[in-house]
Amino acid sequence: MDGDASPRRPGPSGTRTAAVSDTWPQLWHEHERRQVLQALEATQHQDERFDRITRMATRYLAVPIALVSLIDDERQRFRSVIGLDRTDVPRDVSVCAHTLDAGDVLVVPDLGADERFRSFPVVAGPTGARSYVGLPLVVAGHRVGTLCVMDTRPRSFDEDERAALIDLAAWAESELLGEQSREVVRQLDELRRRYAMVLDGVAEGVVGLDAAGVVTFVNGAAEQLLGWPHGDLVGRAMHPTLHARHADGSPYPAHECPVSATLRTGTEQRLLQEVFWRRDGSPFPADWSVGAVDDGDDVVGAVVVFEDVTRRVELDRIKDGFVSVVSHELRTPLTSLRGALELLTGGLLGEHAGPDAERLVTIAHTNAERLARLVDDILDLERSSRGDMPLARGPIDVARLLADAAGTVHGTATHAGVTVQVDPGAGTLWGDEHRLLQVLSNLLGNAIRFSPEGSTVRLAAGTGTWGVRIGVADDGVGIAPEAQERVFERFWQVDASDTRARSGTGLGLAIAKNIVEAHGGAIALDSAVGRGSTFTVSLPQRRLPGSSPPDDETAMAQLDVPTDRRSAT
Amino acid sequence: MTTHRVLVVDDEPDIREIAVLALERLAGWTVTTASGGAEALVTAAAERPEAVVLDVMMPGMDGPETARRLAADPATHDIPVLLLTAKARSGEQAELASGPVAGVLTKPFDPTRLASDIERALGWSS
Repeated sequence: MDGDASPRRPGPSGTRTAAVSDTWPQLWHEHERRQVLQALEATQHQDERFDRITRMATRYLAVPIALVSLIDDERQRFRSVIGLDRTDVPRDVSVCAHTLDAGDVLVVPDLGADERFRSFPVVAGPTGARSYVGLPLVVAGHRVGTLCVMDTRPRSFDEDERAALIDLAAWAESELLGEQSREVVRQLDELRRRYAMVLDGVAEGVVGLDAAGVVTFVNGAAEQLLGWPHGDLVGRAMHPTLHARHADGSPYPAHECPVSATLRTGTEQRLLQEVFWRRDGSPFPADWSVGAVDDGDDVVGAVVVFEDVTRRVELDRIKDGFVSVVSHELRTPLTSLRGALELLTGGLLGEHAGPDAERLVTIAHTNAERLARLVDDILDLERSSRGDMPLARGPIDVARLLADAAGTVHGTATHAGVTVQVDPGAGTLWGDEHRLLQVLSNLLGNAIRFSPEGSTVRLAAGTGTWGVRIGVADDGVGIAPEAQERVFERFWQVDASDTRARSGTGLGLAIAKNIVEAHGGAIALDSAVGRGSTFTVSLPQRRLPGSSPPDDETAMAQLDVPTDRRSAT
Repeated sequence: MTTHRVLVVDDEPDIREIAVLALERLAGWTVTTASGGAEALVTAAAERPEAVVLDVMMPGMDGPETARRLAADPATHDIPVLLLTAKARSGEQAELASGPVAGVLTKPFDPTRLASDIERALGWSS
């Protein structure tokens, strides 16, 4: 062993002829080696640990020079150095690079006599190194550096000295391994922190579980959705804490929970609209999935991802209700229409058909109209509640708007024996004249329908700095307080046996509300059973250049006082 | 043609009128009508029709509730009830059929076949 250690690495020719399948593992190995090296070079250097090793080496082997080095593709860098400048050494003039490549102890009794090293700066330069012994340092299966000593005179190193150096190399390796482990742990911590940040940014709740179903991780969304802040959920068994009961309150045994199956078998599962329970005991519907986490062989945990679907469930319920009501509302006039036509075209009424036929034509006609009105209203309602009802805004003369509105219900009012009294007010407002006319004629139509024959429906406007208010008041039956909250709901209708009262579609007020709100206004109801109802539409004033609306609330004030309303009829 | 006496209950006057024309003029039956559940209970007890044809969605007392009260009243419990519904979904219809009723007819109905539909639903041989 006094001579040079023969390099074990295959020669250049051998490398060139190697098949790809042989080369690839080497390349991969080299990639890993660089990662280990990078990790070591990235660590906080605690070189005092290596200084102890080089100090012991110089003492024990009685040499002036001792080094612990890391060697990458380009340079030899010192982690500890005695007897030399602390400057990096290029790889091609590094003796230790030969040790590293040889992969074994390298002893050079006379550097000056060795063709390979004679011209290296450490030999030819002022240091004047003459003899060398070095060992590769192996960390995590990779040769990453060397421990070596040099003397300024040619000499050999005996068995004891080499054995001591091997021990010291082992020590250096364990220090490097420690450094690498600390770096790996730091990187893992960093990774975990980043994953936690990513998971915290996710809108879905994410809960990590161990093999026993105990919570080990909770993201921000899950903490918020479940009402368990500050990591309080960690350490608790998930099922009994969040999932112990079904939606109806009945027990949900743990062994029936999909999580237990996933932890047992590793299968991923998706569940729709199950119920999770918050810390405060309230439930919410959730779509959720559970997937297994394995260590390559066994299931070691699970990840639960869930989404609060309260809003979707509510929207589905509203939509189902709407479809059901629309279908009923459409079928009702359709039944009369179709029935009348079947009886007519069937000719089965025979010679008695005369007056009956006339009556059936009337029924068909009125129900066809009702059907058309309903379809129009449904389309209007959908457009206006989606907010995409186009408004053709312009200046509107309030007095003319009120007069036009009264005009649209003239026929209905006359037929019902109800007087419409208009107190037009003054001023201008900004809006869609056609749509606002639709609102007022709907309010007037309702007022007339619910007014007794011979009574008066009053329409009045008042303007002020706040905008324009238009009131529609009647002396009808009035609306009970509990029903007042519902009159603006779609398809809500008062229970009334009077046909005239029931001829609306049940959508008019919902549409009116949407139209007024699209104008930035509000619609309000003041009513008491037996004392009539007043609907008030408030629209914000948009002042036109040069106009200054008069503060005139006298007409409105008359509507607002019930006793005045009474005396006005 | 066998003649029958039935009570038709619907809040829609046009539908009542068409049912009356269909059953009286076409089938020669005797028809009484009511515009709501409360009126139907009184009329059914007083006139004891052979059957009650009952609209489902009515303001106030709805069809299923009226059917329950008819079944609970000793004066009317033996009168078979048919529900007439505009509810189109099979789930809704199945729920209606599970009440104390002899059958469910759907709207829109064909008035030229209304009498035979009622007879079939009630097992009356025409």
